[in-house]
Amino acid sequence: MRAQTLVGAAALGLLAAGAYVGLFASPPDAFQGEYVRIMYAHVPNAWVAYVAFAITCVASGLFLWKRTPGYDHVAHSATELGVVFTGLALVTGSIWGRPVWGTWWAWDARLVTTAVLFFIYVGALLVRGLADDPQRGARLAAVVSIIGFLDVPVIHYSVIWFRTLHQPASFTRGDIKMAPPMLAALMISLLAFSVLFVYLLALRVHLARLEAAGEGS
Amino acid sequence: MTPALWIALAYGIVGITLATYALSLRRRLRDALRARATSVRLGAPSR
Repeated sequence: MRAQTLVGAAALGLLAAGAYVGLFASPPDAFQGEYVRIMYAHVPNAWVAYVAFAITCVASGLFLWKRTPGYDHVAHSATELGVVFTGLALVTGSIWGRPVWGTWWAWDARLVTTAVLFFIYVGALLVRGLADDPQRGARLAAVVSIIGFLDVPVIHYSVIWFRTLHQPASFTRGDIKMAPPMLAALMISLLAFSVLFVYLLALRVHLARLEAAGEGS
Repeated sequence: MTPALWIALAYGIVGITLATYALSLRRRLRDALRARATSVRLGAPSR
């Protein structure tokens, strides 16, 4: 519990630093102007959602293989967090798109595949919640989660495979198309959201374990 | 709307959503820990 509080405090401090750097210290973009600051709230949500669903996929696979409830607690918790962060990535992307693209939504490959990911994992939570037998619900949710993860590489490469409104990745291995102050602001935000994710996942897994123990007693 | 308002909208939604979620998780965890402590005191079987 003490370690959790320390990680939570670190997340709070990093988020405050990220917000300050993103809102005040980083420069405006040559084309987008001040709107580029929405990037520091949008990209980290998408990044954390990818990480959450990767953890869900691995934990689901391990649960189906070993049938250990601990893996299911991790998968369930990471799914819930992934849905929250994907929802925020969609909302912030829409808010960014309205002034920059002139529309809240476009039937663009990146946007549509991300929305599909969101609904797949909402489906995984529903399948789990609606099942009469919790064990069966956990197994079905694990299967949906593993299949759903196939959408993540499709999302990532959608800006390369399709002609999209969404901009391509600003930094890939060995190629950074971003000014150093902007890159620094984005890295601080990514770190802050990653630490926040670790904190929230620890809380959620702890809660899942206690709830399971309570149901069993 | 001015750029500042769009930016405030995006940061506001992210901040409020994550703060609400984190506080709700902390409250649920505290309640679950309290319930477990009560059941242990009452002699309920624990795992």
